[in-house]
Amino acid sequence: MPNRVAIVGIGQTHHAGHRYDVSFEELFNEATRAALEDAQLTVKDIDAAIVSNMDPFDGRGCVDTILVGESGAYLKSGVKPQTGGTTGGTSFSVAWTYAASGLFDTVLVVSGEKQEECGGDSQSVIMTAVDELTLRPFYTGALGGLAMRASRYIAETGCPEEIAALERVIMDENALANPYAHLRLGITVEDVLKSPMLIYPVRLLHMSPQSNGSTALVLASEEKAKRITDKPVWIRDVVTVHQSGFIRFLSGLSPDPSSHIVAAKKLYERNGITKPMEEIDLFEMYDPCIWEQIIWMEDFLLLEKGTAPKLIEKGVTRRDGAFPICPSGGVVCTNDIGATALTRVAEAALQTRGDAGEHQVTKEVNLAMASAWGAANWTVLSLLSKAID
Amino acid sequence: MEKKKKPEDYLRVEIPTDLPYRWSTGPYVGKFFAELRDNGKIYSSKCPSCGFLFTPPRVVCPRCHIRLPMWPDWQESGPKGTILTFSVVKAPFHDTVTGRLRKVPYTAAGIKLHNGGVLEHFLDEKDETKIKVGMRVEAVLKPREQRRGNMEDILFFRISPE
Amino acid sequence: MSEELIFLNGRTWIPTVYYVGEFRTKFFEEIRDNKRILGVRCPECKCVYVPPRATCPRCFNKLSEWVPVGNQGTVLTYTTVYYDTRVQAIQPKKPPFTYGIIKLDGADTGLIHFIDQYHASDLKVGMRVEAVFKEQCTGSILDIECFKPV
Repeated sequence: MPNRVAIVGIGQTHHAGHRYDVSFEELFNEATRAALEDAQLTVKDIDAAIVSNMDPFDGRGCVDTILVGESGAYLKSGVKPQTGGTTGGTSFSVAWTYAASGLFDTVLVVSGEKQEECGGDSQSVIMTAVDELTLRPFYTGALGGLAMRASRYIAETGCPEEIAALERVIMDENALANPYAHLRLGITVEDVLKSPMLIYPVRLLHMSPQSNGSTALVLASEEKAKRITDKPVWIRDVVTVHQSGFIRFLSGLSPDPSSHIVAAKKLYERNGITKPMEEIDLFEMYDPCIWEQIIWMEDFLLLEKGTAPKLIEKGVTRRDGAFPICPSGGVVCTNDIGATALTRVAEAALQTRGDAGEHQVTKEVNLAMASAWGAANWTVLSLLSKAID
Repeated sequence: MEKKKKPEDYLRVEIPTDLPYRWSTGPYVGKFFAELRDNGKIYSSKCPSCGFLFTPPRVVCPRCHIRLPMWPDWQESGPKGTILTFSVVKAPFHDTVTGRLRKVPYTAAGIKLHNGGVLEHFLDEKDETKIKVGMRVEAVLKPREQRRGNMEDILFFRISPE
Repeated sequence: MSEELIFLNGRTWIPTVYYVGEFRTKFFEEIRDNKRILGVRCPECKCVYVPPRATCPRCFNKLSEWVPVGNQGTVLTYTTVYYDTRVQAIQPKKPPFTYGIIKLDGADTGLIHFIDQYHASDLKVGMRVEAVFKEQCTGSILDIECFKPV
């Protein structure tokens, strides 16, 4: 049985369109310092550091060599995971494993991205992750897979564009209440419907931006956590499910359920959850495109296909709703890829602690869920709780 | 806050990443490409355990972890098929292979081949209002002398008239 | 079986651009405007970093004490490249060329740069060298043309 681990420090930079004023590792350093300050710890208290980004997005490979000094990892244990968009989630999972194993007491995890450094064209960089032999000529980076999935969902359920527009506006309202979010636009449903079509059916406003920023967490084993803070956020469980990286396996085209469904079932079973929408209080979902938020609501909550649009219309996903989704604004408002999945956990933890300020959900939070996703269709699903058991 | 600086005001170093690659297609995809180039045939392989069809053929079935049969134990697929999903790309972006902006619009689709698995390719139609999931399509190949042994030996899939 | 092997040629091309950051801009501006090399000292461990960095990796202090380190130093190690990879991204110059690690006077870390001498018999660890600056400087590490033996 793993030892109990809690999140004792949360830090993030303001996620922005540009951070020309700092270099890559200086950006990570900002988040690292913020997390350490939040935990009231120094680097000397850290036993291991997990650092990550999605390379080569920042025009660099093997970024661990550059990040060590700035992330408190100098001459210490640690590892640099890289799993595409899932990176932040995988890093969190690795940090949890380090601390839960009993081998390390205090583990720092910092993830980030400085997307402006790939010349602002991150889609072309994602292409290097797409099979060169059979897929590259047709694909449009991550957009390709997202658009194809959305295209099929619309064909199967007849979900109108207005639902996607409505949910996008809800996300924007959340972002306006979150000072760390990147896109805080003040848009209307009309604005979304009129936004330019990038790759059918995905419009510009449906899609996440290219952000620059970093997020860091400090994790501690039970004994240490109780001494460090009186508001530890306990990590109940983390489930990772990998999926084959071929589009033929994407939802609807695969004989098997998506990695999201497999992860959700596993998480619920392991934690005795039978009614996720009632027993879990909020969900920071990794939603790179607003269409995916709709489709994956059904996947993660094990709902029947085509039922999510009605829930959205009823206001269920709002901050004051019965099951808030992405009260931070989510990925459609902020996407510094390496950091994004870790930011989901950070925001879920802030909500559990009651420290989310203006974007705190109205209901009491005892159990929060956060997901991570990468273009190869990997899922990392985390469950955080206020109470230790 | 100090006055807003323009991006050009910030010191930076421009070093384009420009790396050439040469990929081995391997015996499975290599044979698939050779048959496409020389005989204009599209092949799929079937997992003997779960029955899933792979286009192009693969070494191993990821679901069953067993080795898949090699040519000639493949089945000829297409050239007809059905659209499973599609997307019309309108926003240009840098094609890493050429370093230039990819020409848009173009339509990418997931196509279920007759007697085969699912293949990604282009559709000749670029107007999304004229494309529907479920439409029948047929592969259009380049003439023999222009085929090189890669996915672009198939020019695109043409929507069949009703 | 002698099956034909098919290869696909490809390329990864990304218009990468790296922002120096406000902190290190000072280092490059000093080279560009005054042909002078600066390091930065950690108040705790007293280590002088060249090239400079914003955080001391050992002490995690934010660094702010700039110190001039002179344009002369000692060669700690060097190597000469003879093999031509013909890949632009890997080789900055046409071989043969020499580069090494130079410890500038007053610095505690080494700076990597070209050394203007490629006859192996003339090069020596411990040799004294001096920075040679270009006529036109733009604010880059290559404003230093190379290091020449003194």
